[in-house]
Amino acid sequence: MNSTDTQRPETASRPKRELALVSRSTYLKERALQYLFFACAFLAVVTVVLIFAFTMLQAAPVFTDIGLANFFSLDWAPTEGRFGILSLAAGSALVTAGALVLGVPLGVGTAVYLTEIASARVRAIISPAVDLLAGIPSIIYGFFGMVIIRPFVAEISGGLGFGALTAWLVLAIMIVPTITTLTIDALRSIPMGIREAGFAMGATKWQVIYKVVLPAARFGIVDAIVLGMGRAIGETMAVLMVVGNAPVIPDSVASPISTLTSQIALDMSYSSGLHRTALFGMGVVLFIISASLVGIVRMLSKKRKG
Amino acid sequence: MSVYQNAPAPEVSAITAANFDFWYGDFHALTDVNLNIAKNKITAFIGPSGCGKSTFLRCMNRMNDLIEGTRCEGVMTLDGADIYAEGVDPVDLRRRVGMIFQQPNPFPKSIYENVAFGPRLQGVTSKSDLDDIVEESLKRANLWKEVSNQLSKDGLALSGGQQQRLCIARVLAVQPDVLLMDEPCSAIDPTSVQKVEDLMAELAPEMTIIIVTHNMQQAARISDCTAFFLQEVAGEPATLIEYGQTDALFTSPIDKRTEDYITGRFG
Amino acid sequence: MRKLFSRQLVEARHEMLSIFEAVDLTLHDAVRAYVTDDRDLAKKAKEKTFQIDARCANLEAVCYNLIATQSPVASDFRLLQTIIYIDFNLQRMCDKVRRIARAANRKVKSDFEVPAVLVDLIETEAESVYRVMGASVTALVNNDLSLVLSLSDEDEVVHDLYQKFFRTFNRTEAVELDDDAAMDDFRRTIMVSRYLDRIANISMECAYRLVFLLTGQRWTAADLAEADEGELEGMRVPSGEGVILDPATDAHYVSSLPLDEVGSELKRLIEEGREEA
Repeated sequence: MNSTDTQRPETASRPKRELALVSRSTYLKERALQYLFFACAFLAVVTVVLIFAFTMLQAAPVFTDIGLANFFSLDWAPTEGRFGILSLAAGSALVTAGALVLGVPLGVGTAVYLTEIASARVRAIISPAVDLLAGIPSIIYGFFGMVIIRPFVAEISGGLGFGALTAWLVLAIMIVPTITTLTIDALRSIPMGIREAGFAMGATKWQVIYKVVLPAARFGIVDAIVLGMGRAIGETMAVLMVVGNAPVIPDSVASPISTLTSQIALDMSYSSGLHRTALFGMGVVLFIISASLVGIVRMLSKKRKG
Repeated sequence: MSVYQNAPAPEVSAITAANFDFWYGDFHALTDVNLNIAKNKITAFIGPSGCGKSTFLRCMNRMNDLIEGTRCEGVMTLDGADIYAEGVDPVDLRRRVGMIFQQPNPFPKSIYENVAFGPRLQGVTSKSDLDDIVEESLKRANLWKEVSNQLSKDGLALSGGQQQRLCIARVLAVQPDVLLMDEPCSAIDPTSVQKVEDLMAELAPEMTIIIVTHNMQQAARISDCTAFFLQEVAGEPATLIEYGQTDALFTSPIDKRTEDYITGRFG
Repeated sequence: MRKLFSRQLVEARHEMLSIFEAVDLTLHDAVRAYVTDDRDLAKKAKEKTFQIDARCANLEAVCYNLIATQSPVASDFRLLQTIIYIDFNLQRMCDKVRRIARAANRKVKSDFEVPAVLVDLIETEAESVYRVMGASVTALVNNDLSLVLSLSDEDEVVHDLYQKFFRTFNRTEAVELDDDAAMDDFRRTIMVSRYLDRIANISMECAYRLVFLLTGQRWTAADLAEADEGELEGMRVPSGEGVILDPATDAHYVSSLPLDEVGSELKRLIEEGREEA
């Protein structure tokens, strides 16, 4: 048994000292840094609030001067006082849906190939290519779409080639890097042990991938899809250049349409008065859509952790 | 390096190895392993870290094939048939030779789905059949009493020891002939270790079990035969030093290296 | 590795040898007390046997504790088993020595006269017993399997002397005794011969355990009596760090034994030890 500690004689004579952790200057420095970082973070919040407030303010007249019935109608003719955005919203939805239908299989498939199947040599070629795709500016995509894809679509469909189909092709390639990178992260976060367990049970490589790995990564993949959707909805420049800018419900996939984003970009510079108010109203709608997407992603993450 | 065999050759060996060598790329990991694993008995592999016992274990169900650059020479048979011969399907082999890993690795699915995974792979679809299989496997794995009313709970929400027993239930559901266990008890608490040892003793008469373990007392407690592997010189391949009946090997080992290792004087 | 455990094993081994020496020396005292009618010596011998009993009990507890806490295997475990067995048998021998000391005391106190021829026979028998014990301890210290095999012959000598004693006793004229109590006393005095015979036999059994320590095989006394030395040597298995076979140090713990009773190898070691001291 250890001997018990005896009373140290010094403490009897010295008065009790407050436990101070560090010197005063260090303490002040720490506090200052704390406030600095808080300020940076606070800035983000302030910015979002300001932008939202500004947009809402500018869009407020939609309720008073345009009226909700007008705003949510199919008829977009600003010169005649009709500001119905439904066809534009439909255009955005159509373009996004098609992009996802094409882009998600492409993106998830690439991610699965890169993480599960490819050898190191093949991965060394494909992975940088995917990263480069993410780095290409959207205006270049727009060029590519206008100059290469549009004539191609025109040939097979007979029209000019501006429309949903072209937008689908361009947007699909644009969202592939987003979806691929996030899916790769999700797949990599699945521990190796689960795959080993699958193999040890007598599953083939494909069975392990689609019965074990993909179900295990489902939350991460849905995250990736939702964020890809966000990118597709918000894409302006490339879409503007290939979509045809006809604010109507199309009768075929190859006939011109317009989206919320492309319409705003087109009209913003010369619009005024109620026209401008309507554009801000569309901005608010877009804001609400992306906020909901962010909300869905956060809700899914919580579900994954819980 | 001579190998002592004071175990009588079993009448029917479940797995045999003859002149077995193994390479990871250029690295010669194992050399000249000759071994008969007795059928329906528990065999323990012991040895210090890095001595090739886990490598050898993984050769028995060809899990090492999944690593690039590995190759082997020599013969390894299961019930008499060479498992490395041309045309042998490793996937089918792994259904007959199941494996439990050191870190419990249940799938992130419900307990029911974990255990039903194997039978579903084999084509069982009827719900009542699957229910029976799941219940029986969980009972054999000493886990049924604890989870019978929460089969839809996520497998990862169980404790470490329960997860390991879930992995055992999962393997038992495909009714393998041989069960390979790679240090199954090193990552779980002592009470669960006790339960796993109990279930090994219950399974043993119907199944050949091979367990790699660092715990000398565990090997002495539960195994019928023990094999001692050692890599004597770093950089040289490891080999089998001694193999025999457990009580003989632990009371009076024939090789001095075995004596020194099991009494804890090195390694 | 396991330095503490190795040291504890060696200490247990030395304690066992030391107790063996103590039993041997106390037996000398008890027999001398009997032959020379020395009551004080008999009393001292009896007290020494109680001390030996305490040491045996302690050694047994230590060994069981080591088994429970250290999970020994292989040579460590064989050594502990051997020590416990020999310790138990040393207690039995010690019990016999105590009876001899009591008999010596009774011989002095009582009225009857034990015939001189019988006392001489007992003295001769005791000397043979010393040789058996000396050979046993030599075998244990030197891990000498050949010496173990020769013990049965030495034990035969003791047994023959014991039989000769009782034949002689039966042929002597009946001793006149007053009552039953006196008769019992006389009987107990005569039994010394039997006690000596038993001591030699138990000592031989202790030495036989050396075979288990060095080979891991359990052989019966009957098998060992007929065993071949080469065969036994061939069955030796490696001894580990805990079973440090170091006769020179072990000899130190039995160095008080009379040199003419121990084997030649042990005699040499004791003498060398004394020179160095």
